[in-house]
Amino acid sequence: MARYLFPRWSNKVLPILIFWVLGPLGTAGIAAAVYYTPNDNINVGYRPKQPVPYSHKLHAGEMGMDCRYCHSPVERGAMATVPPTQVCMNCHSKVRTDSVKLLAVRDSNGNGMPIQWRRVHNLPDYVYFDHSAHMAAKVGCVECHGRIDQEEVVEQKKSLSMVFCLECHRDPGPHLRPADVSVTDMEWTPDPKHGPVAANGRTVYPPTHCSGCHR
Amino acid sequence: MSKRSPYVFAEDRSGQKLWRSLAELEQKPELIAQLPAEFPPNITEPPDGMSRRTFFNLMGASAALAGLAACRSPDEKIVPYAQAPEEQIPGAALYYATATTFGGTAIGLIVESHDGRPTKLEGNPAHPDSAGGGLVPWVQASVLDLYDPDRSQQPRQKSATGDKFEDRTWSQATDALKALGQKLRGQGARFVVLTGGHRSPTLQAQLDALKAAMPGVRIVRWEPVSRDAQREGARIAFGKPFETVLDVAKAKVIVTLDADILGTDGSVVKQSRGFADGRSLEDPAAMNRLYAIESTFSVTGSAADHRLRLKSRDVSAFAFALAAVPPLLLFFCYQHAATGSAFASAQQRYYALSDGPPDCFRYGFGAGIGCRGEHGEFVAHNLAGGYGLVAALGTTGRRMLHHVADVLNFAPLAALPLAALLARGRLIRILALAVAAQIAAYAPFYFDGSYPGGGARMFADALPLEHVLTVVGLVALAHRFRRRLGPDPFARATAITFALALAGFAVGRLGLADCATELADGNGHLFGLTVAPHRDRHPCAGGHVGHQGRELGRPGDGGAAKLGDHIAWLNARLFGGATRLHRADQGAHRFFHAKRLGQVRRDLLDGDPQTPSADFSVFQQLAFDLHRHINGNGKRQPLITTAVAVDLRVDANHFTAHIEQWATGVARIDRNIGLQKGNIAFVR
Repeated sequence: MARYLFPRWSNKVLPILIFWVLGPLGTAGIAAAVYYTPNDNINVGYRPKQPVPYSHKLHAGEMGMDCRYCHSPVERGAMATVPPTQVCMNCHSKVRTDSVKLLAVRDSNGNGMPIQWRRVHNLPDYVYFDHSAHMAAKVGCVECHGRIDQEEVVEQKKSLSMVFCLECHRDPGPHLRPADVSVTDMEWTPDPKHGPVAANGRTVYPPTHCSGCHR
Repeated sequence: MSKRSPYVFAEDRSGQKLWRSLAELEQKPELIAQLPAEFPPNITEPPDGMSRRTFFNLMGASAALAGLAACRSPDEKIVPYAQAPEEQIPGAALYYATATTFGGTAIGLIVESHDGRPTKLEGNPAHPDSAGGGLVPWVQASVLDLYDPDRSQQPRQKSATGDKFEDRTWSQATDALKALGQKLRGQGARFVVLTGGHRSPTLQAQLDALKAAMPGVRIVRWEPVSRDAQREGARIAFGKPFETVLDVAKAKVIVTLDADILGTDGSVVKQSRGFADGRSLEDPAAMNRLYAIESTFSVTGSAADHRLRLKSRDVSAFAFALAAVPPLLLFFCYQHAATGSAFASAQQRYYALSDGPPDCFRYGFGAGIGCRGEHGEFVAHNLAGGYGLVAALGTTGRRMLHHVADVLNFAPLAALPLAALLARGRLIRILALAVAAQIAAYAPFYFDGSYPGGGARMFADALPLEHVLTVVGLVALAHRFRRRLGPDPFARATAITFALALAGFAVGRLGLADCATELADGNGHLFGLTVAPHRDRHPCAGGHVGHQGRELGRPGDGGAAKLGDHIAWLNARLFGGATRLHRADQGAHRFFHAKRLGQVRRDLLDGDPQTPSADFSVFQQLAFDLHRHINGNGKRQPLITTAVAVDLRVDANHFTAHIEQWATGVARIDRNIGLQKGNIAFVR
């Protein structure tokens, strides 16, 4: 029986396939990936529109409210948390009771359904972060969150990447505040020669090994 | 290359016609057509829906595309409470001190709660049952009940057709219940409310109100796992359903009879703690020893030093056997001390009183000695009242006095478990005649003014039977007069028995001691044939035969008795024990102290007259309490004999002083009586 020979035209099949089929499909795939998968929401500059146009500039900046009035668990828990609606209503049951901007807050207070805020500072699930530990060492809010007292809408100012964390963990001294400076003070200038000693006199040893954060 | 035609099976027409199915055998045409196919049509494809191939195609594509979702970070929401619960920090645990009920018993808890969801239960360290924070596995696991998908989520009601249940809202449910209540109230109908074990005063008040409103209602409390049996045991023992709290730490030898004291029965955490405390390596000699007799492999069995597999139905028998060991040992000690051999009869003194020397006899049970040929008129002459009723009564009294004064003689301990066994069975009615039979059998003996000692000998030889009959008869009578005697006739019968025994001691102390010791003097005076009948009315007049008897064992100086004088010092000891009853100083103190068996025995051997009557009563109590609380039906009853628990939180020294606190007395056992090792706790 004679051996089977591919016809001569079959030599053109592969180049044509690559050029006309795989090339365009791959280009389209890459373009789709570039178009559809930017991680804006974990990058610097992420500034989503919130359901309530809450202004940190007004509350924290101009009126000088302490961060911890609303983010009360920050010193005791891992999360700073967005306050419950009732905290807003502590004041807004008396102040600006007819403001249109506060409609969602009043609704939530009335019907008991929570306000769904969009998360701005979002670490990946494989990273462990505890606000209370950083509060205990007196790392200022501004270190990670930037001048939030000047922001009309909350925006991610720092990269919150691994290198961002490690820069501080490897040399925590300049980021630690003395006892007489509040962690919420946005304008305090750190002393670059400050050693790795917390306000309570304890030397801090921030973890730089993997499992310190990737538990 | 050769082309080979496929092999064709030649149709074999030569042999037997074979068939593969009944259809082929029957040659049904529609089935014959299907025969060439390996499988019937459509059997490889599902009757409807998706085929296997389609399923795998779609699943493969889905799995391949699922990875695409990871290309983009999710846009997360922060959803705070509208009205936040108090004290709650998101992500941080909150701890609440509370209690749950398990088997109707409240258990102190610390509940760990995450974001409003209880996740972990631990014992409250401040609660006495937790022993510093432990918790029973069952209660630990009970937190899962909260997340059980099989829990009913809402009320359900049987549909109008009655064939299924339909979901209802709570308002519908309360409406339906109200309507039902109105209907039942109008009709005065009977109905039953089934509740679990609870200790809620509120719930109880509601149930009481329900009962007041509808007298027909029956409220039934039942739990599949509960301490009800144990509480019932306590109720039998103490009259009130106490909780049993075993103080295992104090026990040195722990015997569990089908009781999982480290796993399921009782205050397990506390008991486990106590068990561990009793096994300190720092003092190995003081380490406790755990014997587990059980029908299933339990936590206790796995922790036990010695484990005996036993069918559940045999555990009761084992308990009886175990209960019989101390009294039997005591009995053998008694026999050994009295006769020099553990297995010889200890009734020599009895024989001596009843028989007299060879060819002679003692008429009137100690009133005098007669010999062969001296019956009849001789005896009538020597007896004060002749054959009259007064003489007979006197004879009977003397005899019964001896009988009663000797505790072991009065009620052989080994017979008690047997009696209890019989008492719980149906034989009880027949054996009720035992007392009558015994009286009839003794009739000639009572009036033995002219009757040789043979009669006494006969019954003395038949001693165990006689006393079994006595005990059984008492039990039978107790059952017969159940109402008059109260809820637990057996306990009352026991009380009466021991009261008689103590009375016998007291009587013995009053008048019998000296004459008995002299009577029993082994120096031959008893057998000296010196017939010198005394005419005085001393209860033991016959004993003063010529006054040659050595003065022995006056109460308080029993050391005077020689070791060789078995019978004599035995008396001294017995009555000496009675003496201690009346001494308010350290003697009285000793009376309260039940001693170890070894100690008792030593007392027997050195003739120390300090062995208190309490020794005997302890053992008898042990026997009674054990069989009182163990049913003979072989059914497993966890911890029913709470009465014989290790430490019942009753001061152990209140023991024999209050004769009605029988079970309390048993609490002494674990501390003061043991078989070589020290202490025994009977736990069942």
